[in-house]
Amino acid sequence: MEEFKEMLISELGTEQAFTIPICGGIPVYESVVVSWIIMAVLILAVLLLTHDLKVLNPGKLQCALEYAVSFLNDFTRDSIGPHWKPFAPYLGTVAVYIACANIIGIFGLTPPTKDLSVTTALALMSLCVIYGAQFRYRGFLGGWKQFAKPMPLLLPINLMEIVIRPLALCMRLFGNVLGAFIIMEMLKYLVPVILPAIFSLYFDLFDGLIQTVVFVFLTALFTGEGIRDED
Amino acid sequence: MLEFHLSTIVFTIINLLVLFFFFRKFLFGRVNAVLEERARLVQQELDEAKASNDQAKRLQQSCQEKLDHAHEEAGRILAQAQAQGKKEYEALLAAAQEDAHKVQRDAQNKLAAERETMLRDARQEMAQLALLAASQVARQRLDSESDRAVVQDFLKEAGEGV
Repeated sequence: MEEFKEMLISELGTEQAFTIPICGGIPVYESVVVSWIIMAVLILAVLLLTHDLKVLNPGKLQCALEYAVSFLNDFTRDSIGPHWKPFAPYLGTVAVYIACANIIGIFGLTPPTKDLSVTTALALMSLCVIYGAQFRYRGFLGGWKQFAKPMPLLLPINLMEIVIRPLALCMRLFGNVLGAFIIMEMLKYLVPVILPAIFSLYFDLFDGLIQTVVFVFLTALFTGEGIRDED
Repeated sequence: MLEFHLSTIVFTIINLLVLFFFFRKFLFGRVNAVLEERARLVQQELDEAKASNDQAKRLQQSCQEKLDHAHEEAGRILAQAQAQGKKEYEALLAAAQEDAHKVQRDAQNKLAAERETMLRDARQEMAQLALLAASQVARQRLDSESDRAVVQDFLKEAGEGV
């Protein structure tokens, strides 16, 4: 048991894969390496899927791809409003990346989203998108004024949200993936056969996808909140 | 335990940006281009179908008009032809009747004239015959006024007898 506890605690951190020997050595952690693997697979898949798109008589794969992209476009339009267009590719990228990162545990690799640094980076990007869009579409003054809406009394809360929103995004994703990972490790320790496979379906697939949806949906919602009905 | 690694954060941000630009160009760019192209194509087909439909309707209308016009014209020509035919027929008939009448009249006139001539000839002949006969009877020339009157009377009686 003592040994298991130690193993769990060590799982909280991330292993360093290797060090790039420049600028005094840049450490590269396992999550970054797994991200690179995910990216390589995604890029290859995208190149394969989109190298022969047809306007007329699309194949089944292309139909599925078009359906997914249309769904993403509709979702972005619904949640962000008239200025949805530049945000759809970002939300799509984040969705695909997080989904792959969450369910890669099935293939025996450590999910990159189990690393707090990765989810922090994702949350920072969301922060930039949310408030960047607010200032981009409302102008410098209008962007600041947006913090005093719907009423000036809420100004402190809105300012606090700048920190709270990315923190919540980052911690939610990290916590869910880490929690699922720990539960799975415990299950594997207690019942090594059959049961982990069933629970893995829930924790890796279902919860992973749910967390993807939550992250992307919240990012879109906050972005839309900042720039919707500006005029 | 729980710790932030600046290198991981930076790497992840770079990863995401790379993935974002790649996806924007090769996934969303391409697929959206196809979707837009298809929407444009469908719209174009719809417009074309509408245009050709309109044209067909216009054509049909003009054809119908022409057909109606042709029917009208045909009726008019037929009526005209019938009227003309009737007129010509009547004219011919009238001419024929006229001819027939004329021929009949001529024949009658001729007959009457011939009869008249014959009668006159016969009368003269008879007068001479009578005169001759009378002179034979009387064995003398009958040339006095009274004789002549007698003959005339006789002839008159004879003519009435004839």
